[in-house]
Amino acid sequence: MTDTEGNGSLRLRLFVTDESPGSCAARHNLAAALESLGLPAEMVEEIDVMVLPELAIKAGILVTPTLEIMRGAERWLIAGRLTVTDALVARLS
Amino acid sequence: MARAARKNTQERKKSGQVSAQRCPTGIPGVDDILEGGLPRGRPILIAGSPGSGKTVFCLQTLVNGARDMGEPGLYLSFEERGRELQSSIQAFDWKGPIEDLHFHDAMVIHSVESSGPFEIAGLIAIIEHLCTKHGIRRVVLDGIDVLMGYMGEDAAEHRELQRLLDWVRNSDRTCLITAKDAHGPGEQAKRQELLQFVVDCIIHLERRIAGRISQRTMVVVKYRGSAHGVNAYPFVITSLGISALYLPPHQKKADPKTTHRSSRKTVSTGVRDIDKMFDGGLTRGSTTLITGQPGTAKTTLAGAFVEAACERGERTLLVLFDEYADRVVANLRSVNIALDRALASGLLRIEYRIASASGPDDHVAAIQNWISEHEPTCIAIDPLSAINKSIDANTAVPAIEHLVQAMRARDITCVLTSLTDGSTTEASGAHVSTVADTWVHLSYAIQRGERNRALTIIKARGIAHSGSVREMILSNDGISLAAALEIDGELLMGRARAFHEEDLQERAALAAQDAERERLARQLERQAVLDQIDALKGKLASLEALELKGPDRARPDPGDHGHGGGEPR
Repeated sequence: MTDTEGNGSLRLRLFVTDESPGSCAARHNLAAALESLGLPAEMVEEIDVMVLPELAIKAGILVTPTLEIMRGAERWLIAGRLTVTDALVARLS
Repeated sequence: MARAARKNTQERKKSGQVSAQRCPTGIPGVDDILEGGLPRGRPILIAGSPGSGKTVFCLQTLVNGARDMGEPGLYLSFEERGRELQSSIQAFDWKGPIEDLHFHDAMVIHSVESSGPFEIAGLIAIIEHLCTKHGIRRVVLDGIDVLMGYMGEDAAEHRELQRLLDWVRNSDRTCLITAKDAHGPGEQAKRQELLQFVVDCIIHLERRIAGRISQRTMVVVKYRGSAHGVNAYPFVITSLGISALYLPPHQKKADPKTTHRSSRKTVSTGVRDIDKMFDGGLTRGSTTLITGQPGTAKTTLAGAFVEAACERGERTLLVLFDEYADRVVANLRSVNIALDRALASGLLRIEYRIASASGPDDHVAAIQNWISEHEPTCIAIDPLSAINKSIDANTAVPAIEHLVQAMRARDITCVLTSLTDGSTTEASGAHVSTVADTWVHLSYAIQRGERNRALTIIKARGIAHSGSVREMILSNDGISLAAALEIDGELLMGRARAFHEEDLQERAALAAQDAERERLARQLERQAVLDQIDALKGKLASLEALELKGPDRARPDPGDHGHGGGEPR
């Protein structure tokens, strides 16, 4: 996980369920998007909902995979395999 | 009514009627339709149009389970926020502490951006976590179609739904899933079809508007491996939640006609003369219909019945439609029917309904609720015909039949009045006559410019009863009946009857005078005859006396120189 200091810092959490096909696809697509932006894949905090459901409940997560993007006070949730890369890149940049 | 449903569930459990495979909803009438309850540990679809009562059905099932059956519940809604649902619960009069009821807000799904297909394995993990944490036995997934709508792909939708249902079956928790009706082709219809196929039980709720009145029905469309009621059953939503108007066959009682006369227990009508017409009174537990035009004293008879019941110490319910209690009580006082003391003692409960404000099902549910609360043994409803004021009469028939059956099942003696119009003098406005055990008809007779009330017993199952028309007289002393007086095929009532009776009395007096006169004449004549007899007897005695003197006495004595004899000259 990478948490950039100061306002406007980007924090990413990917909620997955083990090695499910959807979770694997989302992991792969997110890594590609980050790479295209020159961001390190390590900045993503991955949470397995099967293991840590309390964290998912606290974050208001319902389905997996879901990417939580936090930038300062702003927060977005993107659910699915992250196949819509343009929108994802727009959110991350 | 909710208390009765709880009692029913507890009784069923005691008697073993609720098998381990059933999960009682605790909703009045519903468990009877389901022959014990929902399939335990199975997915159940509660389908219906918006506003049909899906959420209330689910909430009530959870509340009853958590409060009465020791089964904590989890409510997960994709359409309403948890706090809104908790407010909904507060709006209902569901008594008792409701703990072990948990809400998980799933509305967040609407603020999530979609980027390709997703899985609900995470959702299942979250639900499982909450279930384990709180010991949940019943789960509601409200608006699952909303979640599925975000899936985007049919195959994914099918797969994820199957995953969810597999979890339900494996977890052994009873899971109610709601979904809106889908009409015509489209994604929603496909989703609905899929849901219907994979669940074990489907309950469809429907709401329609008839006239200005909302009517609700429920149908058990599917129940794998179990018997259940198959009809469309009316239900209402009141402050107590859902109540289905259904009475299972084992609770329906035979009508009193099958009761042997010698064992018949009677209940006074409150009018001694009418009791005589019924060979002692109404049969306990029977239903009596009183029909008549406005002003024929239907309410008065109902009041007399209520007063008599309270005087016997029986808990009694009087339901009034479109007439305030204080006005009715005051009017009844004028005919010596006093309900004040019964009201003060709490034996009598009077309730009031605005007929046009609700449909028949709502009226019947309200009455059943009052019955559950007050537990009366006698009930009067005045007039029951008002129940179909806002709807066509035929639509009200099932509700009325249900009410009569429900009262009969509780062995309640009831008097129902029904307003008739002039064109249908003896037709019961509320079509109750077929289910009523006894039918009394009140009518008017106009003679010599005077309107009088007439009472006839049209039907009295299993009771020897008078078939004659009687005049009903209301006075400060109360209600009485006058003997029928038929002259030349015409029944005389009121002043006509009084005139006739006076006439009869005058004639009788004259006849008595004539008879006396004749008696005196005969006496005189007899006396004269007796006098004649005495005179003749005297004469006869003289002659006989002479005879006794013999011939010597008859011959002239030589010394006798009487003029009758003597020497010849």
